[in-house]
Amino acid sequence: MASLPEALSELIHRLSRLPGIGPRAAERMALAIIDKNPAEIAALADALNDAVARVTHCPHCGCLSQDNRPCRVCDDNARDRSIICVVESPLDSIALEKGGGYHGLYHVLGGAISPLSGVLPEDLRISELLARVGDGVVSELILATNASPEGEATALYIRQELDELHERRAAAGSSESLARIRVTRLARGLPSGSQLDYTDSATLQSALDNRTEL
Amino acid sequence: MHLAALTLRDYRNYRILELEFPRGVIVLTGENGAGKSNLLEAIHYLSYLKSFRTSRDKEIVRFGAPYAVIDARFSDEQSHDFEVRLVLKDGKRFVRFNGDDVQKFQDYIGKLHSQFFFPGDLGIVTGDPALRREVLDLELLRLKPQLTKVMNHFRRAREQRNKLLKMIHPQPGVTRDNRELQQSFTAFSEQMVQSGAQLVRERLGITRVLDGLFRPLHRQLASEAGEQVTLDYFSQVTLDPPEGIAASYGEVLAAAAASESSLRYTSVGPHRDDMLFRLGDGRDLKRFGSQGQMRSAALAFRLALCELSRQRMKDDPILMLDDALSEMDDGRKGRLMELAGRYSQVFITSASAREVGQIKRAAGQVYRVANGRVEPY
Ligand SMILES: Nc1ncnc2c1ncn2[C@@H]1O[C@H](COP(=O)(O)OP(=O)(O)O)[C@@H](O)[C@H]1O
Ligand SMILES: [Mg+2]
Ligand SMILES: [Zn+2]
Repeated sequence: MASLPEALSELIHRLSRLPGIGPRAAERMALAIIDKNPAEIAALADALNDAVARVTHCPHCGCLSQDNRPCRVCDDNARDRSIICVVESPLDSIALEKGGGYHGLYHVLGGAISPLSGVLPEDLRISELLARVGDGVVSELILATNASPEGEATALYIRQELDELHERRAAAGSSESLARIRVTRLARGLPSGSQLDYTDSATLQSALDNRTEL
Repeated sequence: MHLAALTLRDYRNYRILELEFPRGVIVLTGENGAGKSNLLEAIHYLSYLKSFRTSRDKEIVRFGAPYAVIDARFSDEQSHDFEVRLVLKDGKRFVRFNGDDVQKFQDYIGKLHSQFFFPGDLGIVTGDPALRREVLDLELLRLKPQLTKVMNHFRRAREQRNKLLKMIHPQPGVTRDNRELQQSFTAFSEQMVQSGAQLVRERLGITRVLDGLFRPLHRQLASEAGEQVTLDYFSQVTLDPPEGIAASYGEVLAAAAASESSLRYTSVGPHRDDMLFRLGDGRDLKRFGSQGQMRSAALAFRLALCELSRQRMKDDPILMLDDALSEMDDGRKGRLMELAGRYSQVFITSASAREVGQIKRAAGQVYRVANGRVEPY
């Protein structure tokens, strides 16, 4: 077998480290890339660098955004600012957006509580969420974490935190309207144990429509 | 379901064995050590992906051979054919089902169904509770495959909870004051309780159904021995009413908090439950029963599992009775043959010519096992 030029095997090696790309696919991709005209490849290289340099997380919700600006959802004045949908990852919010039926805002936790994998509440964006909820505008929180033990436990955890926050405020004599916040969970339309970002949009929409009080 | 064809290569004492089997009662006869049980073991292996006599796959490969292969064709009541190939090599096993590699064993377990009984098999009565839980869970999965998710949910929530117990109590009896850990603990406990309660309800349900099937079978088999035996799901959690199981589980856990702080693992729940065989007055059969009583109960339980499958799945399991007749009086032999004969395929082994004579009438086909060969008799 003829050995490949070093530069090419380096490219194959880099590509094969991406998720879902095995060695064979990486080889085919690499050969296709070097076959393309130089301008197109330069554009691809620019796009790669640009994406890495400029794609950031929205300072409000944690969804994907650009240049540290608010994401498209947060930036959209037509969205309902009184509802926040809490998800584990940016991919989940993308899945919900594809359904097109949700008009509120998002909050990305960055995972779910999993002591076995060393993820504790402090590693998630839960305090940021509580800060957003305390602003007096939010009236409903949809806890759309996965139906896994970790996702369910995280939803329960947030529910407890809200209750405590409310009690502390009440004890401090604050007149803020935390008590009126409705906390819901996606309905059991979701097959238990399922990943949000693998669920088809119709199922996701019905789960969203039939969300339940937590 | 019945086994229509079987090929063994370098399996135990068989170098190569190719056989087709009819439905009905099949008798395998031959001297001790001829390989009768080995043949049944192969069928058991296909159903449960494990042997009933060894946990070491290596022992199964014929001495000196590199690997063992089982090829089998099963056919269910609707005449659907299932082809299975199993290769045991270097302590690993590879399974193909209808031409596809089986990756997750939970997708495969339950597809082929056999029930196996041998006279020493009192384990289902006398063995660890884990054994009975495994049997109940397997039957549940056969009836409701979607319960895999509940079982996994429960196990995972419990593992997370156990991890938290160790974080909250870095040493037995020592408690860290950490609100985040405490609240996470509460949340995972709730997950465990909900899925655990669902699992307990299902196990309770299937135990009651099995009890209903078991009693008449046991009465018929044991007849003169008289004493009634019943099946009873046992849990530290209050089982009645079934809607109250989750609440009761929560209470029992709360009461166990002090002991859990030193144990640092979850000590109550479906992973600790049991199914008891009880004598008429409630006494535990495994502690107070005679050998004979336990044997009848174990056999009646196997038959109850067959009956459950026939009623709920409209499919008979393959019943395998290994030397089961040898310790029975003639009356009981006759009654067992009557009960067993109802299933679509039954394998019976016997080393005794007299026994074979007794059951010949009921048998569809008698095979002689000798020198690594199996031939119609
Ligand atoms: N891995 C193996 N390779 C070859 N022979 C084996 C192997 N394992 C067991 N045997 C032989 O199988 C025989 C036992 O067969 P078994 O099926 O238990 O007999 P029986 O007909 O009494 O039920 C023994 O003679 C034993 O030496
Ligand atoms: Mg034997
Ligand atoms: Zn945003």
